[in-house]
Amino acid sequence: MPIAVYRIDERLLHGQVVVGWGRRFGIGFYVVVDDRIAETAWERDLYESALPAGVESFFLTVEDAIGQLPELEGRGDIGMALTAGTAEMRRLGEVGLLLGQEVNLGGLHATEGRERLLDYLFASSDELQDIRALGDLAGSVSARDLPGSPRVGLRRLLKTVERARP
Amino acid sequence: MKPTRSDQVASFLRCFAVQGSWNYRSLVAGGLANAMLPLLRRVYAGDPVRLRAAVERHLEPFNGHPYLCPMAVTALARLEHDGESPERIDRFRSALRAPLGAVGDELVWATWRPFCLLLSITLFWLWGRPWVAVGVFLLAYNLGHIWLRAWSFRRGWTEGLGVGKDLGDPPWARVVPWITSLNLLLIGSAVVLVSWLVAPDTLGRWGVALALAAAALLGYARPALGERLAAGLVLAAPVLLVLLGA
Amino acid sequence: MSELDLSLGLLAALVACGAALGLDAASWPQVMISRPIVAATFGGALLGDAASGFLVGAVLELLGLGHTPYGAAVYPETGPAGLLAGAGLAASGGTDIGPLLVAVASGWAIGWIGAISVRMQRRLNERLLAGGGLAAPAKRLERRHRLAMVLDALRAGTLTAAFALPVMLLVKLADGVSMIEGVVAASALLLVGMGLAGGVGVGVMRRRATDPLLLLAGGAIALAMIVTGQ
Repeated sequence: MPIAVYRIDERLLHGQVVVGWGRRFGIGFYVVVDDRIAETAWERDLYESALPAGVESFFLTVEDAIGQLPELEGRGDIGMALTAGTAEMRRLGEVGLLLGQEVNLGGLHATEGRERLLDYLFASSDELQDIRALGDLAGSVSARDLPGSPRVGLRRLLKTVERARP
Repeated sequence: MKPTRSDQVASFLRCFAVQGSWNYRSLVAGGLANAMLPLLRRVYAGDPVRLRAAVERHLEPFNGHPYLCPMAVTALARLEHDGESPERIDRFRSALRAPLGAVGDELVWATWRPFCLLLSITLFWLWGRPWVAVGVFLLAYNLGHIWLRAWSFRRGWTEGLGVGKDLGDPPWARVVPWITSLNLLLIGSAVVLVSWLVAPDTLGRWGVALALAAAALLGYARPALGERLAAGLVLAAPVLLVLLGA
Repeated sequence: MSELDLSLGLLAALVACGAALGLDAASWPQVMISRPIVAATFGGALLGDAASGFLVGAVLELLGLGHTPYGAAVYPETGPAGLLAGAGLAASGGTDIGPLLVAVASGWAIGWIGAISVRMQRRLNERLLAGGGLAAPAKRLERRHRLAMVLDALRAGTLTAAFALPVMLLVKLADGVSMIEGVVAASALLLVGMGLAGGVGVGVMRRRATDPLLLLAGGAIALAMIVTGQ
């Protein structure tokens, strides 16, 4: 399995990802799908400095990712794909890249207009729509910050929201 | 205005409390802004409106390893001092969370802390003196800890936007793989040594060795299952103990 | 079985210590006096037996090695837990397997109860920092930040006070139970549990082909040390 996890996490490459997931699964390369970062050199440098020696990273725009992900899937080592938002992941799903894949909701912070699903996961109504759509586009969708934490399935996540909204 | 020496000292000391108001909405932002205040007050001396705007900027969600947060404190203060645009500061701030978390977690939580702890346990087995073991742990660990805070505080101000260079190729890069390997050796030995210390005579040497070998293999192959089993067994043991003993 | 002697002064010392250890874990200053080996040695020393404290701390340390505070992850709060486990074992007057097991189990359980209290504290901090106006004047931010830390210390102190007596009584009870099969069965359980935890610890390490070899080599060195030391 070349790309083991597709993760939505605003923080992209950070401790939980690089150390928590990276060490547990022996991740050899990360694919960060983000239009803005792919085109800004100093931001890429900063994110890249989060990686331990020997681990590769690719920063791709959504368009480039759609073209190149199938190729990256053919690599010999294990990879992880990351998007900062739900919309980018949905785009990947819409072109059929997520069929049979696990989509992991890893972290969206609290901002205006978002409501709490879990301590590390807040979402706006647009983002909730994306997450629902991902349920059909991907093999499975669940929330989990670290590999050792309990996995919270899509149905339970959506129930939390419905309960909060009378 | 450029922060003075005493502003820097005040800010550095506040960095020790960077996680003091940790919360699920803004994470360490409260602590970050609190530690930046002595610097920001100097940078925006006589301009309460811009000071307020800056503090509000840095109350937005932020996270990073606590020992590397000093780097965020000074690098962001440097950007404010240099008059960078708020938009650029925000983008730098978001990107900075990545290496500050990843590099720090890898270096401190996954490497340096286990190393010092395991070393201390080994020393206790060798000498049987708890205060020597605890003293060596606290001294060794905190030499690294305080050095890291001071290093990141200095580098943040010097490099500003360019801190990525430092974090991508830090001074400890070559040592960490060695400590990681050493940690594995130390875990292997600490599990045996501590088990030996707590095992009663009735169990016998080979019983201990066999139980350990089987358990370590299972634990290595399935860490998540291993942890749940270990916790369950430890909690079940006293119950069983009382039932069997009664 | 000797009488359990817990004076008010001793209880106050434990609570003060628990508050400081709880504060150290995340809020201030993170010098890791909150680790089980340190906290349990403090607890043991307060009850007159630092070595027993260290031992129970070392077991808790191995059990918790896989739990690391990455990002916003939940992990056991080891300060008050280690302190009380160490104090409990020292108060029982020995390192017999029965009391040791109960001390470890108590430490483990209080660690997770502590984690729940930390989570509640962090939810409360959300409210302390919520709303605008923190930045003007910035003194308000400083006051709220300090208040959060005071509350954190109070939380850890309260946790320590609530569990001090129960833990000591429980550990003491295990001391009174005499058993032979029980000892063998329970210690086997503990050993297995710790071996598993060693494996868990490996989970935080890098996964390379040489990892198991290094682990085994470490175990072999330890066995050699034990055999030659006897």
